[in-house]
Amino acid sequence: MRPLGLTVLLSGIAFGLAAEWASFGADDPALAVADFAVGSVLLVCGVSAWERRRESRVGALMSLAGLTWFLGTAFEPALYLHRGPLVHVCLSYPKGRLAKPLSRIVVAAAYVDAATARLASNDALTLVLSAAVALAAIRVLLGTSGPARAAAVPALVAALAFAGVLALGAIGRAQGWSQDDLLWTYHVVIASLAILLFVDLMRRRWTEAVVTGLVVDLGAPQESATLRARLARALGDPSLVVGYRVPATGEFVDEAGRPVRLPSSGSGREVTSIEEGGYQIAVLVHDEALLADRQLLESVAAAARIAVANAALQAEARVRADELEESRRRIVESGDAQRRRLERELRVGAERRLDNVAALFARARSTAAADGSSIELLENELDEARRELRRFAQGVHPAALSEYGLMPALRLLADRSSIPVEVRGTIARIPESVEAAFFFVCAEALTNVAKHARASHASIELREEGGYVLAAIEDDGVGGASPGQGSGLRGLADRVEALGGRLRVETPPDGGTRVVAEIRIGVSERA
Amino acid sequence: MLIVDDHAVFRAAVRGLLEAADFEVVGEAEDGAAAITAAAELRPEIVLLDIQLPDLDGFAVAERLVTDGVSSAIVLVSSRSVSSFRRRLAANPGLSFISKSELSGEALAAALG
Repeated sequence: MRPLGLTVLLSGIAFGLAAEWASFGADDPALAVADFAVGSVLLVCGVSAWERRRESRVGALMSLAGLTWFLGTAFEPALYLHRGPLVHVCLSYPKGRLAKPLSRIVVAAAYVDAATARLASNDALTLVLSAAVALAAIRVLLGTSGPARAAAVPALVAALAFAGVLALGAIGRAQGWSQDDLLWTYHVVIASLAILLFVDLMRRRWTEAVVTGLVVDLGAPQESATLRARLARALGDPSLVVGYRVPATGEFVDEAGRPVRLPSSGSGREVTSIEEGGYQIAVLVHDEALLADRQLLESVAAAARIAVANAALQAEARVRADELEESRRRIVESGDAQRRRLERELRVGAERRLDNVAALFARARSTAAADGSSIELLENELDEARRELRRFAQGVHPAALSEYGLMPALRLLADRSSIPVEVRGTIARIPESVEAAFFFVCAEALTNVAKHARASHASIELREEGGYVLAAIEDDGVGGASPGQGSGLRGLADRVEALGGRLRVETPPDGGTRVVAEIRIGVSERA
Repeated sequence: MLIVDDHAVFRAAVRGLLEAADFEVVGEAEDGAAAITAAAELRPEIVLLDIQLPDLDGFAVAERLVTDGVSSAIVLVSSRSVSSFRRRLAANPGLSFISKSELSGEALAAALG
């Protein structure tokens, strides 16, 4: 039992004993015992229901009725106060929430009446109130169907009994009936209705009512509440979190796409899995107290499956959309950076060489004597310019790739590397964009190996596997690379992801770095 | 005059070209720092200064030469056309500019007025 429930129960009982002693003392022990018994029944049933049916507010309301009952015993002006929460219980059973406007008005009126002794002691007003309670209870019953109606029947019985005993009191006083008899009847009816509702609340039917309510609720698209809010309401756990599984990473996100951390054991939070077609699609992270009613939890999880599957797709789509936007931005930026780099390369390379050629020609013309050394200088500069243009073109798009295909281009790439690189595997020709992506992944990975890895050997392996083409670049260097570092690998990851593939960088336990790119090749995509 | 450019071939070509046009080349420098030292030592009347140098920007070198008061005329040269530097040239009215493709003895004489 929670500390709050226990405190309410024990302090309520203690206060009740003191109130009975002070009000009745030894003068009327029978009445004191009966009065104490009714207050205790309300308190015990209320606190127990509160503990065991957290999804319902009825327990809390009934506890409040018990406390106000004793308050009325202790202080004359509060004598009728318990009627407010009792009417509230009868009209809001089983959830403890008022669904109908009429019920809300009647309950509000009952609280006002109960809090004002002058109104509550007016017999005519009491008759009006009891009629209103009966009417509202009938209205609630008529508004239900299926399992919800089964739960509404005891509510109607309790409401009619309470309305009846209020009316009986009012009429009885007017007719001059025995005050003692009326009081005893009132006590018996209130204790009975508390027990009736408590017993009913503890029975299985409740699960069905909640689940039916939830199913109806989930089918109401015009309601603005989120799925999380609806499930939290159905389970009576405001702290409930729904975590949707992101299949690509196996992590969980909430409806807005923010990451959800699963609780550790002993944190007072528990996880219930929601599965669809044998796959986990989401988790409910909830208060461990909900485990007390596993059946309810599982029924709610089952009822919410389709809605959760939907929301999981939406959450995933949101995550993907965010990633996509991010990667589109990076692709544009990397395109710009690439163009700037190429422009710079052209200027400091081929263009400067051609400037030299032009200056040499100008000199030759002005001196009017083209000697052997000038011609040699001119030829050298032209050669350099040609070489730099070729290197530049290779950087834009490797000629070997379009002419011979991926594997020969990779072998040429390996030959030019500063460390020995072994190229393994064979694959059929694949779309050009995919070949280019693999080529640039390998080229960038080898550049990284040469720059950072301090490796003595590297290898490139390509293979086809279940509709995917995989390229793995491994070295025996110091490791420590990651796609988050530097723009090179990140840009390549974007390129690979844009083709529906994935790039990952692994650091095997025995050292070195392993870059793996995989891109799915549909049969129809074969070049 | 002093020729500043990071390509030896270009310096040699320009030296030949300008000497044929009766300019006297007193020295060459391959970067900004060398240019500042050489100018202080040689006190050239003219400095032919490439804008894209490996260490300093040609404008920065020119500013330093003006502050040091070691040269009477500074002519900037570049592969790019004058339009790329119009704003910076306007901010430094003492500097002249010739694009490399137009460089000749006459163009230099015209730039110096």
